[in-house]
Amino acid sequence: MKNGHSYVPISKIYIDSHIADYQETIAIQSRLNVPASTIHNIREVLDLVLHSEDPIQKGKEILFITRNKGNFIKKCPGTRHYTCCGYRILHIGTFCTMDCTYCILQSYFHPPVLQYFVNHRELLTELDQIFTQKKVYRIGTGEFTDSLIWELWTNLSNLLVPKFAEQYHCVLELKTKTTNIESLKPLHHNHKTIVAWSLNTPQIIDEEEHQTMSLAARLNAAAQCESWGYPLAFHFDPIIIYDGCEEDYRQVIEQVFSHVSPENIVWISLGTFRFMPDLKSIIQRRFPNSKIIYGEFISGLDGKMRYFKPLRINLYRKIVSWIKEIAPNVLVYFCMEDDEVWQKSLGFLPSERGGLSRMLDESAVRHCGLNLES
Amino acid sequence: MHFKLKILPLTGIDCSNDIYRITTRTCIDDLVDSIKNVGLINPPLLRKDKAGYIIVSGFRRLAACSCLEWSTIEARIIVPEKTELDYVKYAITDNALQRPLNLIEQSRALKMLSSFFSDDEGLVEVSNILGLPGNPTIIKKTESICHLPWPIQQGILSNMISFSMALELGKFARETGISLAKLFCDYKLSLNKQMEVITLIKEISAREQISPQEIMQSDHFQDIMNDSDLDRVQKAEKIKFYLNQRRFPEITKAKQKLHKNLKNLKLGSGIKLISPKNFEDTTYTLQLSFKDFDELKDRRTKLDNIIKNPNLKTIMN
Repeated sequence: MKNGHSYVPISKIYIDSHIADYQETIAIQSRLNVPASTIHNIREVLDLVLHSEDPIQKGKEILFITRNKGNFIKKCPGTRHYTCCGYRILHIGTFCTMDCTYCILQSYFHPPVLQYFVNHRELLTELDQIFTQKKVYRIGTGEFTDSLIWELWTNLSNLLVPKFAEQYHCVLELKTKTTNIESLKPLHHNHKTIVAWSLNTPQIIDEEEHQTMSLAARLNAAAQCESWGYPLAFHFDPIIIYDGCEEDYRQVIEQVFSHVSPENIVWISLGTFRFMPDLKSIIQRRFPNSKIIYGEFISGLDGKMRYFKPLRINLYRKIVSWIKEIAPNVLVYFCMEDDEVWQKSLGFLPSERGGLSRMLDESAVRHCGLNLES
Repeated sequence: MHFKLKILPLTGIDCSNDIYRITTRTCIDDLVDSIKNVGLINPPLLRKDKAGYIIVSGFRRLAACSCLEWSTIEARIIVPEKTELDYVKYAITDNALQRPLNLIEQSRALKMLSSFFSDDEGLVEVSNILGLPGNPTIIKKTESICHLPWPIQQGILSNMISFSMALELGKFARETGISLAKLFCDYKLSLNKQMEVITLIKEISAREQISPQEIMQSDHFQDIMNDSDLDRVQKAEKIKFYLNQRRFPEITKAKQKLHKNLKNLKLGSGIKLISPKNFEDTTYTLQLSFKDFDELKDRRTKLDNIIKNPNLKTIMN
């Protein structure tokens, strides 16, 4: 569905007995208003999902409210062969209620289950610890899930946005394909929360990004957030090569800048479609009409399937030129690409500018008012 | 099982009735020789039918006796009359006790049995007792084999098509499955190459949204198949190349270009330039081999010439 709020409907909630009496748990139950069961062993949920006909679909239909027993803040799992941006993941939950064909989470978790962690006291403690380091950290919630799907049933943004607003070293990036932004409006953000959208061409959104919002809706939401003073970011990831894709991506770029001002964009990332080989059979089974896995892929240095490098460079060059034509000062970077791609597509290497992490940190400092001295 | 031995005229036996035929063997020369020399040791097993007798087991023996122009034959007649399931069990057992059943025979046996069971449990039990596969999934897959077009089954019998490949071929439209089976058997493709061809055809089909049959009927494909100047190995290679080129046009172009430039470098013996795998990495490898000091000096001279060759720059860019 491309209009209005959309997601795979949740049919049942499972509650970890350890957090059954948490206020957040009770609040989610009352907002979702679907049957709920308290369980003592996570195995019950995992088995239910694993033994269903389509575990990936089932994993989207139930919500497991639990606690995060590990670290809330994790390093982004980059690989040494390609340049990583040094991101930190804020691990608030897993999986997603939308259903993108290419979603790596389908093969990343075994099995994938929609989980939400409610032990927020530990989460806030970890944030306090990282804030006291007085180092710039870019922290995002949109790696293992979509950042804003949770807005429908939780007070997550209400917890995180003001928390980041009260310090000057770290930025929070909320990355989404939804338009669930209403709850952000009244929040005191102090420019420390970047609201980011994953963008694609209307054709890809229509054919491959099931249950997500249309491009126009995403851009309208971005404009709304800009009007509320939030810094913005955009991620063209995954860029998918198909007949006519160049013109389509050019038009998307034009539309971005007809909705928001380049000055308020902290960064734009570009990344072509890549996937672990396991995902191919999942896509073939779940989305038999999808053609995206039949591009010209090779096995990359990290074992992931990637488009043949000259094809990546060719499209990157064009997309970069279209962005730079309109917004020459916006920071454009590549997600997980090597020096050759950087040099041939952007004309420089990250190392010439202090490294990718530093480039992004500096942009965050400029746009979000980070103050390293305080 | 009870039976009585009876001498019957061959004309009284309906040899065309195949309902209990398990065997896939059609050649009877060995059996004709044997029966001619030592006689019929093991009489065929028959059952009474409205019109006469039909064969439960011993199709080849009867064919051999017929070939020897016998007018009568000693046969074992099952008495008293049994259920259809019993006859099927006798047919399977009599064949399975003589030799291990091949895949098609197992499939035929399971097809016969499965018509008597509405649930997996009963079928699995009987299948196990008769020495056939005992796993319900394997039973289903095996049973499906005898429903495949005959050229695919022939490929299995000639060991050119594996069980898993036969199942893959069964997923294609009938004509496509037959065309692929013939291609694999005629060109004697290994299992890996068969898998490669099938994957390429499936992916081209998905990518271009045309049927696999259309790909195989394309002019280029047919030209290769019908080229009388090519032997089977050359045809197989050309078909693979054509499919790869169609599935991965840019990668194939790059490989061809690299090949051409490497040729123009005139590396000669003892020097090998290895480009990065999949053109993804940026590291090239140069291998020098030499037997003595003079050869090493010779390689160095050649290497100097290679470095000056503009084709090297083209390759590396």
